[in-house]
Amino acid sequence: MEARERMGRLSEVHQHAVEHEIEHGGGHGGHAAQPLFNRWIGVLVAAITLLAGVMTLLQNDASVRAATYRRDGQQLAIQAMGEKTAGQAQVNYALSNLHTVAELNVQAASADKQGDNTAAQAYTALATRISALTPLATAPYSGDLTLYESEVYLVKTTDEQEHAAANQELNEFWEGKSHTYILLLTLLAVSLALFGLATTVTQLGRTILIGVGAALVVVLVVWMVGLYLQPAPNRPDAAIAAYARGVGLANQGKDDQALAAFEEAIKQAPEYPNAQFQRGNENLALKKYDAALEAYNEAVKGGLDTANVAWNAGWAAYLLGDFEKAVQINRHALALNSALVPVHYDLALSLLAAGQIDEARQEYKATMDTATQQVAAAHNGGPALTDSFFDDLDGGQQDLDNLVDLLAGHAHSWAQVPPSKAIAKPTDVAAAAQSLAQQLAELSVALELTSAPPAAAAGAQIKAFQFAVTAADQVTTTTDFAPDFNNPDQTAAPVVGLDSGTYTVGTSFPADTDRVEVFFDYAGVRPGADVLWKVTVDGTEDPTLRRRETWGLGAAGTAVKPISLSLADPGDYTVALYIDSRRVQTGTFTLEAP
Amino acid sequence: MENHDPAGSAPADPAAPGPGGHAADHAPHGPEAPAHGPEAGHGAAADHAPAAGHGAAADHAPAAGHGAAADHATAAGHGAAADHAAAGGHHSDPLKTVLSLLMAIVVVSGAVITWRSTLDGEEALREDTLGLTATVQAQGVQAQANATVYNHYEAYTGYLQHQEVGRLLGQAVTAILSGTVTDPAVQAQLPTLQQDRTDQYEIANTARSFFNPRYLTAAGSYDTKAELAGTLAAAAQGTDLQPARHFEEADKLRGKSTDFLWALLILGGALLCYTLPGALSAGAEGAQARRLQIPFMVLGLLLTLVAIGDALRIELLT
Repeated sequence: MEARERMGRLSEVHQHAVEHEIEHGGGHGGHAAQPLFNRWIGVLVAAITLLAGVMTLLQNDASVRAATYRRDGQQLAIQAMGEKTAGQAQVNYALSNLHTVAELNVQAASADKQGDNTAAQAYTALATRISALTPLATAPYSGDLTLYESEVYLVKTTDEQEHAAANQELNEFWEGKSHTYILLLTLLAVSLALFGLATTVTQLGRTILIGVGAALVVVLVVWMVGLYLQPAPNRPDAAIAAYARGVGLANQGKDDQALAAFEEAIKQAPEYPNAQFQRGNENLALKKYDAALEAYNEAVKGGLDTANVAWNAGWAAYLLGDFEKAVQINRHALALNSALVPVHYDLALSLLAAGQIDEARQEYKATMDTATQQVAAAHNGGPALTDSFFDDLDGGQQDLDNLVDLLAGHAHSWAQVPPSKAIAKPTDVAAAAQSLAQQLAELSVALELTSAPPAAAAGAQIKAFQFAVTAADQVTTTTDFAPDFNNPDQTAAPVVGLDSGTYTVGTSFPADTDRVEVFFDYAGVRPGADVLWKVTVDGTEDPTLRRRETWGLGAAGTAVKPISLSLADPGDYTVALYIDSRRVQTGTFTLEAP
Repeated sequence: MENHDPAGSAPADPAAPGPGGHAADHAPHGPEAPAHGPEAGHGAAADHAPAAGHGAAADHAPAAGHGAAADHATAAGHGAAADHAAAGGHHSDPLKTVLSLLMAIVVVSGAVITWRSTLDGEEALREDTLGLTATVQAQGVQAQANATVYNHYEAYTGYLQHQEVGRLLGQAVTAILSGTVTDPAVQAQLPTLQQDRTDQYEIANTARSFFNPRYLTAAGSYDTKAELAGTLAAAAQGTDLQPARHFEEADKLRGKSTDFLWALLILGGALLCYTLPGALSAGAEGAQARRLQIPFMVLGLLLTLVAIGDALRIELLT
């Protein structure tokens, strides 16, 4: 081959080499050929690292805030507990003081009855001196225990507890944010990994990895911004203060003022579920059942979907006469907490009022069986019964009695009953209610006294009660007319009969009546039978008037039972006699208002 | 053109003196030919280096580059670039792809496990807080319930005192009325005794308003235990009084968080297995390189599966 030809060939080779380098890049000093990706990948990684730094900062900020709110909330909760305990000690002392003063007043009255004025004055002076030892007896409380309680600790500790709860809510909010930032950081690391992997592949694979990584970063940025801008829940101090004030007023029974306070709290903080719940309770107390139900719905919407809210809402629906809704809400309450026995009774009552008598009977039976099992378990060392267990049973029975009275046309003013026209099949419902009330009343007494259901009916027959007072009960005299038996409250044979002229028979007595005698004829009573007297005042039992005895009279005859009414409030007094846990007779008299 | 010497031996030296002694004319070109080999090789290697970016692919580039350089150096005409391309500068290695995927899986799994571990740790802290709150509440309820119950007990004590005094006075009244006592001085005290008895019973009755008569037993004593238990049971219906379950949950979550970290450690081992062969097999080619990579890859895969399996076990079964 000619040299020139060889040189040409080599030039061609050299030319191809240069073309090759240009096409495929690389080689010494090949900046011009470096792909776009290589130049920008470093910038991208740095940018993402910066973004990670921002996220870490935000996560740390959220975590710090969460920790601060958690600490503050715990501190307030502990503080509230301590102040409540201290406040309760003060209130307990005030109660003891009231007790001592009451004793001294009884002794002063007795001395006055006997004509010993010096002693009477001495007892009265001592009572005055002792009552001055507690602020309760003086202005502004003047013996109003509920006001004293509210001012000593209830309002303040409620305020602290609400602040603690608000702090807890903020803690959970910021913790949630912190957790989400951690998730974003994790996903950011994944996007970084995708970019890193993109440098190991070419063409389509690289494009896909870059695309996915970039899309992920965009999503994370949008998410981060949205998260940052999410507002924290806000409960102004003024709202909490109004709420605490409302709780204090409700404790005093000032329902109108309490309702106004809760409404003010809601105005300050519309998303205040506790305040909505209390607003519902006050409307319920004021018999505004529509407003009560609406308030409970708002509480649920605000996140307070609890058994207690549903319980009250179900009751409001029942009182409105919307029994189907009441049944639905009660079932929801039981789904949240099936151990709430009173809600089982409310459900059964709503079914009964709706005319679903068979379902109501089944529900009552199931609940009574559950109550029996719980008592047996507690008796054998199982879980303790709540202190309201028997009150709940009695409440269930009272609701049925109220329904019976309503359908008979003589509902009491204090009774909580639905509109009578809303009740389906009134005759059947009344009959079923009467029978179920009797069963509940007897079960309650039997379980309380014997921890077992009532035994077979004993066959005692008690005629209708007759209520009577003597002249000595109505006026204060110096003559002792106390009955001549060792325990003046014991059921006994009367010293004189009703027709002796000593007694005035009636069903309504003046406010200053000290004692009412309950006369009745009896037959078929077993000697040594277990006797219980229960007295309810406006539908609620007064436990101080409960008496348990062993029958010491004969199988048949006439008996008298005194009911002491010292310190008694005006109202409708229903007296019930139980013999061997069987309710054998009831009767009602009224103590008039002063 | 055929590559007779793929090892990159020097081409036929055009500068080699031939007949006629024109070697001097070609001498400058002589060294250029071999110079193309390394240059082309370097260029070819450089081609692959950015494409690889990370270890494994770059490891393979020089071999391909040398092969391509040899092709290029011996090529005398067109098709050198095609030869170069055909010689394996962009040849797709399935093993590299699999390794890349495995590393991606390790990275993503590690991120997820770290996230779960952190969350469980935070949740444990939250449970601790709830447990402390329940402790405070339980103690508060205990203190208040005891204060109330013993306040009632104090009132019952007064009730018992006056009831018993009334009973004793009643016995004296009965003795006089039945004629057992005949002393006139004692008999003269009858109205006073009767009044005193009535007073004692009335004071006792007053005391009944300051305790819960429901807790009076048949024997006449006061069941403080039942009242305390009932008060606490009622409080428990609406308030969390059980810190133990929160603390148990917190301990469980902390254990989970720690267990996740062990899985993370295993993943770290897997990552090491994926990257180690690349460093160890520098210079090795083809089957020799594979003999080193595959065992490590298999080991890494096993460790990856163990770590992910363990993480799933922790998440789903604990």
